[in-house]
Amino acid sequence: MLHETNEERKTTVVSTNIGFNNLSEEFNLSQELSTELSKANFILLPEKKGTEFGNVFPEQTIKFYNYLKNKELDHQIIVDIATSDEDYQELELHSDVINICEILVRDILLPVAVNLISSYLYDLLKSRNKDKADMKVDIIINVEKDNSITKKVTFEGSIENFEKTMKALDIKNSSED
Amino acid sequence: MDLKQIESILRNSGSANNLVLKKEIEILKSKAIDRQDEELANKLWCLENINEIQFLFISAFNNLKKKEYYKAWSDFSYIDIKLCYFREHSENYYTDSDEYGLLFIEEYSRKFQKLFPYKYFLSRESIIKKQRCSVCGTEITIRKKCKHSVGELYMGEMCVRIVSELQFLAIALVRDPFDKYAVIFPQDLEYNYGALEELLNLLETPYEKWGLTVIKRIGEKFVDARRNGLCPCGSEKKYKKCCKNTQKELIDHYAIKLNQNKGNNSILRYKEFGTWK
Repeated sequence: MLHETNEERKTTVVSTNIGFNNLSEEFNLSQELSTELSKANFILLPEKKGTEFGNVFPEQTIKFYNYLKNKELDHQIIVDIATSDEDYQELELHSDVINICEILVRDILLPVAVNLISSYLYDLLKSRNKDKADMKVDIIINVEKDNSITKKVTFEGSIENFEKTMKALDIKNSSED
Repeated sequence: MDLKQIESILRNSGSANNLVLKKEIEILKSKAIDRQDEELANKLWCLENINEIQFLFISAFNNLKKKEYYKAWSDFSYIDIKLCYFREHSENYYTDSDEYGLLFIEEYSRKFQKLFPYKYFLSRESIIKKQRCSVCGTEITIRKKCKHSVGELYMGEMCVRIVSELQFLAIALVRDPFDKYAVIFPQDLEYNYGALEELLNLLETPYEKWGLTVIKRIGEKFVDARRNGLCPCGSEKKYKKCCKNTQKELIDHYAIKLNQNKGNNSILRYKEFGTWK
């Protein structure tokens, strides 16, 4: 997660081992929770902060999670989060960069994810009364393709550029940094 | 004092004694809560906030006049935070006609803040382990929520989360934190408040209008730099291979314009102020 950024638009695409089938090993989840997560196609992922601190989510992830849950029916998504209630904790960075937690989606749902994140961010923008070019965001979307290969797309920059950049991004043909 | 009288005072940019008005609003709100009149209680929450925002703006201006710059900065920062939470509930008060002066306060708080020399702030980094609802006290987890939403008003109070367990991690140095109280005051260095000082010599009241235009221009030390000479930034590289044609040689240039009928020169003469004296 970022404290702040000077980037207007920076996107990177790399391969990652994270996928729908290995979340329990990756984030040390119970069998019961793993079974629940297997029903979802839109999963919020934590950031690992090591054995001392455990896994953390950005501030206001509860708000973001509830926002997505309310959109499930309209967008045909099933949202879940890779943590138990007991282990859920938030990392508060106190900065004006908006950090949204990492997301794992099937590639067919990438446009839906981009639309939902953009509209969530624009709502936040209204309450802070900032210009969309001034509000910086840090967003990571893991996109799993049919062949179970996952690409991790990282965007760092202004909200204004997020939607444009992501819509223009060709995951299948994008070269890795 | 009834609701209409309170609204009328606030429409005229507030009371000289905001504590008296605050007390009056509290009394009315308490009565509304007793009657379980949630609509009125929420309306009075808005008026409480307007009263406080107006008071903070006047306090900030007076602190600037007294050269109590950090106090003024804190007032402006608090206005920012208050407005951020207030905006969603302000449709009747945040109108285009700006009866309550909130648009003015918002615009001019930002303008004053731009003229402060503060550039870096301290920001806390911590892990929030447990939080509960301020309205019903329920402990909130990711899958367990109560019926109250953060930011909504319930019987004259805004719902927030109360952090009941927190692990402190670090303090970070940042340029744009959400709240900007933690200004760094390094030993042996003194901030240069020259731009504010110049402006405040010419302003008489907090609600006086003035214009601020921000443009980028080449900083004074770069103006006469030679392409093949050493870069004025002190890097010991050639200027053309260092700061030339980059953002590094540009500084923000603020043009302040005062009301036309205020003296002969409505635009202040050009002066460059560094961060430090």
